[in-house]
Amino acid sequence: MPWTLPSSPSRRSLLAGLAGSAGAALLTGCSGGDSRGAGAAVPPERQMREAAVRDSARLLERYDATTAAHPALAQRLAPLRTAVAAHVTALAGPEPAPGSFSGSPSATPSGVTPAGVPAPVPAGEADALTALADAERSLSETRTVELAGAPGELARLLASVAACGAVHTYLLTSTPGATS
Amino acid sequence: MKPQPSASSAGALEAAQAALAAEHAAAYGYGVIGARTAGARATEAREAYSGHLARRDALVRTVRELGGAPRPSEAAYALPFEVRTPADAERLAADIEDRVAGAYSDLVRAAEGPLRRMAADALSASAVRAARWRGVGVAFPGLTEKR
Repeated sequence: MPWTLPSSPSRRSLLAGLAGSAGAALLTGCSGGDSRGAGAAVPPERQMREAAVRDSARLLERYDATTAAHPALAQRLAPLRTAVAAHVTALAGPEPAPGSFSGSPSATPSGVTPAGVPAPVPAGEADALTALADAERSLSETRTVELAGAPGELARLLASVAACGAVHTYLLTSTPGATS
Repeated sequence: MKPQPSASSAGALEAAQAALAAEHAAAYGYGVIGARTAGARATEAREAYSGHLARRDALVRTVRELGGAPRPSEAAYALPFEVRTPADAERLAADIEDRVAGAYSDLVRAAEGPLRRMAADALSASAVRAARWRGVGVAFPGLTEKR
């Protein structure tokens, strides 16, 4: 029995559910057309982008905190950090997202940390890498689920960024120099 | 019993056919790679090969479910460069995974529901394999325009 593609209304319901705001919920069940650019108020796509920017920015802070606590890891972490900074920029999209930033290597200003207090960096290098790998894996898995509700082009970007997170998880948990 | 064709399923069908073509090419390529690698790398090549066969078979079913005729494999493929040494084989493997990742990122864009999820998982798997072969990753796997 072939499975069928979800109909447009169910996709919109899911999208509104993921966006999780009353404004987005009003869009539930609107008919026809492509979802891109359909919303008049705060488009769900913009909300998804802003949430994704915040997630990647938080991950970037963890890289900085890990490097600050373990300077010996800086060289190994640098290319990964650069990739995460590029994700922040790409996810922000053409319009500037509030709270987005350029990914410059400046330290996190104290006292500006929003709601969630970042987890402390483990004292041991190996544990610190494991903690970073866990953060990458967790965000990658969340994104792989959430991209179900995104319009096509954003879903493609989120899938790529999630795939990069899976690669980072692998690179953070594998022995450096073990291959090639 | 075919689903009613629609604009969105036509796009998904086209992208699924492209991913299927990439998987056919990957299966062929890993045949070459398996013959040029040894030890742990040969094991990796074998695992990658069976992974691609499984995705290929899944895509054959997907294309049928979308109302299409699954694109067949070519009898042979022109390799992008001569593969003589294990290093050549590893480079070819990484290139193949890049190509496959690109096809799946397009399928993520074109598809919805379970097919989109399958494409996202396959994109991640290819990105991790490319990084294993190369030793390094890229910021945007599957997005050739961001290289």
